[in-house]
Amino acid sequence: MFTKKSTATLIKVSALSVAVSVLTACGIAAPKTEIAYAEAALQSARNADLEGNAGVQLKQAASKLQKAKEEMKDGDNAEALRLANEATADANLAQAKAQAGIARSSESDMQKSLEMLKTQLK
Amino acid sequence: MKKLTVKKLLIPAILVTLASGCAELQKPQSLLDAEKAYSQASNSASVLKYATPELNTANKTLMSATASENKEDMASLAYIANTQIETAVSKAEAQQAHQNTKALMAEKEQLIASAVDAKKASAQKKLSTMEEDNAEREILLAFGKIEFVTGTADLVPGAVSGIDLLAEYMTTHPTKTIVLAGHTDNSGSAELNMELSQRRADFIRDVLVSKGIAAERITAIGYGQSQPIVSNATRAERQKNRRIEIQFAN
Repeated sequence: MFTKKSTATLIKVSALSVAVSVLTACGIAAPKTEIAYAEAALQSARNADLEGNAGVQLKQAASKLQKAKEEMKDGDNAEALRLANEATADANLAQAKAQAGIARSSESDMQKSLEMLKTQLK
Repeated sequence: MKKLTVKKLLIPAILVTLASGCAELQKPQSLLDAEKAYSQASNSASVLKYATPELNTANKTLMSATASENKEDMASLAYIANTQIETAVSKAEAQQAHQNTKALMAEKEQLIASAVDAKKASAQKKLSTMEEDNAEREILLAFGKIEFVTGTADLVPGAVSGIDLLAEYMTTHPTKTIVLAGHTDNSGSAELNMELSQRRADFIRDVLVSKGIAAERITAIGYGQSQPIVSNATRAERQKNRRIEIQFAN
């Protein structure tokens, strides 16, 4: 049997727990996997950036990854998770930019060599 | 008791709704920008061709962003969506450049191949022109020594005529046509000489036809004594003026 008092207590407790969970974003696990994933994406992008086309994005990814680690240490897992996911997106963009740059230079090299050949054949 | 249960369920529900910010969050500018970028990217032929999976990923992120229950997640997902769209565009650029490079390489190879062919053909042509020139010179040399019995279209027996050489040459070069021009010295009347030179040119033509050369490839013309190459003062000079000239054409 519930009494009025016990109901009031229950309401207070649940309100408090909701407030606490909203404020601290508890209930989210430490995003270790996401951080590891971002780290791998960043490493792969660094390896791909042979011509230095993606400096801005690499820097961005590295800084977000660093912050994600710090937030996780400080217990803000929600923010850490967001930062880790953003870092992964930045790293993927860095990789795509690196590859696009390389593809563009090889197209331009080929174009030049074709022009040269045309001149020679004239 | 029944009343209490309803109350018990209702109040936390209200609290949760309030806490989660509920209803619709206003979309931040970054999310609106991401939606715009997405619609632009999905209208790009090269993005659709080369980066559909990346575009789909971005679309999922956009939907998650729209469904976000708090501002932080929404902003973060909007950022990620934007980045993923840019990634799709970059990927398409890379693929497009790759395709262009391939096409340029093919063009280059084609150019080299045709240059080599042209060089070969030109060398071949040079060689065959040289061969033809040699053969024609040899024939002309032989015809320079041709001797007819005076006053007739008969060849002096045993004399080198070059007719066989000419027939063979025309057989192996089936596109060649010739003009045979008969000339005489100034002995006898001009009128008779005209007729005689024509008969001599015709004679050569008939021999060639008898050896299988088509008559339409041979034109025979008599010029009589009208075009001497030297004066007719001595016997040797008159001999030079009695001649069959050949002009070759393709």
